[in-house]
Amino acid sequence: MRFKAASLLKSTGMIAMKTSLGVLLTLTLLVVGHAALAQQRFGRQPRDLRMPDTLNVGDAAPDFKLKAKDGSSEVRLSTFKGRRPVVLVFGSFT
Amino acid sequence: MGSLEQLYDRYKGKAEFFMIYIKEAHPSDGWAMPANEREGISVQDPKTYDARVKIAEKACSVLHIKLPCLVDGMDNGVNKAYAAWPDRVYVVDREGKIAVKAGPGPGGFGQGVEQTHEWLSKL
Repeated sequence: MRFKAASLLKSTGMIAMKTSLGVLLTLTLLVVGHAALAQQRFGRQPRDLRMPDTLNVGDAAPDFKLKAKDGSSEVRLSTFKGRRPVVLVFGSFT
Repeated sequence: MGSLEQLYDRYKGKAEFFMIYIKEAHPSDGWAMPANEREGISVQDPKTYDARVKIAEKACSVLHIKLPCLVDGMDNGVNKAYAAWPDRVYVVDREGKIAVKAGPGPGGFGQGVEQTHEWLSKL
């Protein structure tokens, strides 16, 4: 009788252990699956596209020469030096 | 203190303004954003300079940007120099020095417009 109880306890314990392992495995799969879906949906993380931020207020503004969107003219930042302040607004469509 | 457009209208006589089109933040073939798709905006990351110029043109017209628009080169040289991506506002003073440097976007953008307004209002 005592033996039977011990064996019952043992097997209940085993079931509990198996269940918790099962829950753990399911949770792991859910987390991994969610991360994979998120990766597929959102692509690469954006942080790797940020550039090292080294400019400070008071530093000389890096000069540039860029084309206007219509391609007809070019603008060089340094041509405004000594004349007018320049507001630079960086951005993209999305 | 209002939008970028209001800022431009108010101070374009005192300062030069440029919108600089840089690398896409959320291209459909990269870090796509459902919010853009809901607005009907779906842009692939341009692979050539001509393609980039076309997207810049479209962006500036669709978004009704009155500022003169410039386009960063495919080497992303200006983006790199100014750590501009995904969006950012700077003011360069008459001496060619950085006078205002806003935090990076999208969080820093509105604040950048505010800081620019404050700086320009003292001219």
